[in-house]
Amino acid sequence: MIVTKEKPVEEILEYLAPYKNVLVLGCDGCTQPPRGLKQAKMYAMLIEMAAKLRHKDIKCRAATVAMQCDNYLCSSTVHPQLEGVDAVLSLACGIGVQTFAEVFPDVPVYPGQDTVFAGSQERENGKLYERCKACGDCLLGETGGICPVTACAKGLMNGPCGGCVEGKCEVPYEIRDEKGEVIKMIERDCAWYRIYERLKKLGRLDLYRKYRSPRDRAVSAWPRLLEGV
Amino acid sequence: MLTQAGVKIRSEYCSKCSVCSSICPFEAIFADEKTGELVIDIEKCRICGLCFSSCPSSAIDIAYYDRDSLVNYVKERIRETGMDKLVVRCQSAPLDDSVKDRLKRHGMGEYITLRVPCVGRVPPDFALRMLAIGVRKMAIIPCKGENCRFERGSNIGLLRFSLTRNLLGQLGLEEETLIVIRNLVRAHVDANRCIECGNCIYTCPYNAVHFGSPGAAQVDENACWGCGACVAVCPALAISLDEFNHRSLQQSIIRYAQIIREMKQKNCKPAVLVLHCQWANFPPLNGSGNYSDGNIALLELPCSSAFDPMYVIQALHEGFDGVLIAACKKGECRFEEGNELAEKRMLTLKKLLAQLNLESRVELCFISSKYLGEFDDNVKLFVNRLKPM
Repeated sequence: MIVTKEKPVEEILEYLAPYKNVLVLGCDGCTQPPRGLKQAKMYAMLIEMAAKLRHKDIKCRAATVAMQCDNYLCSSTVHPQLEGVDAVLSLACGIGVQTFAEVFPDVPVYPGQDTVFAGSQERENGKLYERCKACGDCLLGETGGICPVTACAKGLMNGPCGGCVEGKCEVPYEIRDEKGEVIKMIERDCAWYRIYERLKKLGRLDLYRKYRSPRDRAVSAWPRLLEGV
Repeated sequence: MLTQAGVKIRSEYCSKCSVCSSICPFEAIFADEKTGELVIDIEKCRICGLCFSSCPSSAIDIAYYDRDSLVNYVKERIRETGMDKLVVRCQSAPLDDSVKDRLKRHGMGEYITLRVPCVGRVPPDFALRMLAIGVRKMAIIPCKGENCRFERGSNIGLLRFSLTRNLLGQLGLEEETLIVIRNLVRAHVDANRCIECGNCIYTCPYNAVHFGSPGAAQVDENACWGCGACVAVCPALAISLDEFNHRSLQQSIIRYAQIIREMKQKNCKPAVLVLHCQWANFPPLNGSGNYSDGNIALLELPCSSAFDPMYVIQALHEGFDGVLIAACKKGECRFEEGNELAEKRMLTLKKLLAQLNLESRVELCFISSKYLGEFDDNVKLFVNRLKPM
């Protein structure tokens, strides 16, 4: 799913400063954590409160769409909600925001989230991990279901490199605060070490021994387009 | 802080029959080795009231809903309304449509409702006293036996009422005079709203929620205990509990906010909403409401794990100066560690509110109804810290 992070309320208020009536639009699609109707209602109230504390007057309404990135669903379900609305705060990922902007060229739309990555969720510890770079040339079949393009800091096609010490990568996870400052570093497993271990377990070390030539970057040159879907 | 226990044995009346100690589901009552007197270990006690209702010598005092206050409450309601039918229900057995239908079939359209934490705490002579003060028909609505929040309170209560019914039959009264309908508060999913995020399935401590095929989440009626943990994590407002649905809770918050805004203008005290677990603090017999001495509104939740950040934000938005959430003490949750779920959720909520410098206006406290005054003390502490916005 697409992982998003809430933007600071301060930043949202700056966007919304010129407007009086705002629609907070959630998305019921794949966003993680889910940004559905409840989140939209909570943000609507939070923004009204924050504006009031700064002696401004913003009125907010909340609604949600099944999938904001689907131009048909977005236009058909949101249209009736837009009456009397000066601006929209979208709680969808960047894709949802852009789809909205395309579908409603006259309505200003602002992102309520930072879109972070496509990832997986670990519920027990409340963590979200980046898992896919959408490189357009999937090699998970050769690497035991572990993606070196995403999980290896260098994106190596043949590994591990010399930075792998006792199965750990020399580049840790960096946890940053709102200002972008690194506040915490968390040790990380070497992707190629994990690939080796897993292929060994599966009895497919032949796949590991295979030499892989450099990735064809042409398939991931952006922006991409798929036709005839 | 010195606190008084909510349940006590008066040794001068005690005949040492040990009924209380044998009935206590939490093994909190035992005979003192030296004196032979029965004593209550208040740390183990969960204030279910089974000992109080079972004591043949009326030697046990309980702070909540004692015999006289129950009888007086009904008396007063009879005088006010003129109704002569009574429904005694357990805190977690809701009067939903199916129960109302069944009551109607038994000729009970209008009735006085008596809501107690557990029907097991109602003394056996209660039904007879009710008949004596003019009640013509009674219905008892206990929880399902296996879901009793006090292990066997529901079954014991039921047993007592069936014995009373036999007695009434021998007295020549109709069988219909006393009826029993079991019910339990449960979560319901609105399949049209479900976005299939799986939060409820992960959160449910009883594994009662699963995905139907195809699509929306489904609650297994038999496995659900009605704690409401799933309701609070649903991002689509698709799950609701019988009595504690979003609409009625939100409307209560708006209604209380209106009342309290008016009161605030008069006495300038900070307005506080207290969301309390219905087991951590027993609501007064005449239903929840606001404290008369301060601008404090109480709202009941089935468990602190059902506390929804949305309610807190709504309360602050509606003009409350602070929100206090009262959960049971750790290890005393009537469900599976619902209070710890609430604690985790509180951290996330505080982070969000910190952006508006409002994080100190929300607090979580762990209390128990077995210590008299603990709830009030916590509320007072919180109110004294707050300044009006």
